[in-house]
Amino acid sequence: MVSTDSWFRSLRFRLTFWNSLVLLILVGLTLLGLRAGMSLALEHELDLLIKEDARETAMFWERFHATPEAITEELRRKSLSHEERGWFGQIIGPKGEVLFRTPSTPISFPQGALDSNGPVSFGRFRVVEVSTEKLGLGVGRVVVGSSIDFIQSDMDQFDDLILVAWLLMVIIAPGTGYWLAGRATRPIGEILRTAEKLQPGRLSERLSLSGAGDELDKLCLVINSLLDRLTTYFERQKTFLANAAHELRSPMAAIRAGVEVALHRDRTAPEYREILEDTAEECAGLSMLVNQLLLLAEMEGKLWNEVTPPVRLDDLARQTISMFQGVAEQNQIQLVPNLLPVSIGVNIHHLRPILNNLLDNALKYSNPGATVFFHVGVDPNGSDSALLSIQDTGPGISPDELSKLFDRFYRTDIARSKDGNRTGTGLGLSICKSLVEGHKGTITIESALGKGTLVLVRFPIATEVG
Amino acid sequence: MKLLVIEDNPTTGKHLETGLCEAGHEVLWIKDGKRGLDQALTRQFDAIILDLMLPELSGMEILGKIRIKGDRTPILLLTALGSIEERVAGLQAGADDYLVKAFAFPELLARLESITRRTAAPAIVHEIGLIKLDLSNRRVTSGVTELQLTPTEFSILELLMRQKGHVVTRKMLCEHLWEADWEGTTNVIEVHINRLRSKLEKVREPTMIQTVRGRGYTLGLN
Repeated sequence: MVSTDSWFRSLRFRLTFWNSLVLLILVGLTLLGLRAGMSLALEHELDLLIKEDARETAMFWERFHATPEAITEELRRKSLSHEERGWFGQIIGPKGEVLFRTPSTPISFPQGALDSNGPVSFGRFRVVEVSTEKLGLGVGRVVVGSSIDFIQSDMDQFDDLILVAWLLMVIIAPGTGYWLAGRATRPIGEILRTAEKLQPGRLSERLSLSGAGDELDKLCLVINSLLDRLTTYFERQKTFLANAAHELRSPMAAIRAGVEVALHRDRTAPEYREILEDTAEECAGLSMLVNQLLLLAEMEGKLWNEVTPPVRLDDLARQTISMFQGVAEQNQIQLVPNLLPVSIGVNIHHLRPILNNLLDNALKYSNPGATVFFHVGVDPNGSDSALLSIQDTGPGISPDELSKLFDRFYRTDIARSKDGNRTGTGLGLSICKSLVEGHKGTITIESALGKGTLVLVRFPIATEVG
Repeated sequence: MKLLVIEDNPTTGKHLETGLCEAGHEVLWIKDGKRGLDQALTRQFDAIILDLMLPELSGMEILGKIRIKGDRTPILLLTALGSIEERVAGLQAGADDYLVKAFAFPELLARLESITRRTAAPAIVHEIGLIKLDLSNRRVTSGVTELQLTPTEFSILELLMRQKGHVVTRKMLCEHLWEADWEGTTNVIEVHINRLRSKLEKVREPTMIQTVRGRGYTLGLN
């Protein structure tokens, strides 16, 4: 069932959540980096400006040192024009005495020289010092400072921008992400809805493909082909069940008719005996059919996984030949065995019906005077498998019938006409096939009309223990 | 023999009881597993016929409980489950033999006999009518005439003589001759029976093999 309560566990939500989280962190880090870079750039800019100012002032002082009024006026002009920058400056004589000092100079700022040249921070100010040496005045120094408050206000503005941008991301990223994830996962929702509707008895629905050829389309294709196979399998099982019921019905009908007629009126002992004998005969047929059905159910589509001690295929074949030798002689069929030693790891109770069924078929459909070759040995085309081949010179099987030979309950026309009323179950070969394949073997039948039939069974050779 | 039959199906149970009584056995038929186990543990039987699918206590459980007590009474399992794994499981749990339902009654009798006969040595010489079958030298004679039989014919006759008076099914003959049954429509026994018959007729042997329709063969006097 698709539950709605665990919405936060949905693929769509998780995709959106993690994607947005990563995106927001990355964008946040980028913005912070940008901010730090900008702050550094502004500071650097300010440093260049105050250096320039300091050099300018120094040059001015060198030139107009004789007229202190001009210098005072120049410093006043500068501090006024750069007022919003909190500009200040002072000129220090060779002996360290303060010659000029703008009124805008912070009171706490030391009267005298700095000890370093480069721009340094002093409280909320950047300060720079340049030396000057001219006209025998000795070494003088000019100190110029500027407030960093304007950088701060720029940065504050920038921070607002960053925050707005980031908040927009917070809204947009999960929103679009959720929408995109929804689009991407919509086919999954459809798959779920369709799959929910599927019932073992109603497998006609198929998932629709988007046509994009993406992974989801491939998934749909795989699921659809699985559904196709399941449908075929269920249809086969249904047909099989119906056929089995039909096959059970005729002996049952015969038994019931016999019993009811017997009970209809009083009869003589021999009459009762005959009816009971009929019943016993029909029961034997029923037993055989039921046992074959059980054997099919036991092995159908299954792999025999139990460890099976190796058996000599040729020894078992000898037993089979001994079992059918009499029948062959009676039908004037020459049975030509060629049994070479080979061992296989096949359960003996499964191997016997295979050998018996195949030889029985070969004898059943051969005409008097025909020959049946029964060969057992190592497969000449692959030394790791054992080969059992039964070749008859019978009437052969048409290609059309050959393709249906392994179908359950299928009987060829010849089988029907030969067996007459006491017909076989039509399960023999399908049992053989599932038994052979259950033991990792293969079975193939080749046939040519008028020439005969060749049955080939291959099993992996058992590795002898010890 | 004193036999305990634990079988819940009323029809099967009734026929088992009647059939075994008529075969000369003393039969106690119990319909459920619990009482069946009580009887098996408190009284002495020559053999127990145990159905596997029982209400309350399954046949396998009963089997286990009997064997865990050290009781070695021969047990014949009746099972509707015929797969090889299930049969193997029954034998491993200590059953002496098993019969898959639906079985022919003569098979049940033969199996009962074979699981209870373990100590008594089987007879070497069988006789019926004028036929004398000697297992020690594998010779068959009718009066003074020696019959030339193939090994298959010899084995068929041997089983028929061993079970004289009883029906021998095709399945029993197949298992006797080739260790396994052949479940197919082709009657692989018939041809040998026919040959055996004609050999018996040739020497005017009064004993003949009778076909019991739907069941098998039996030896009878002409």
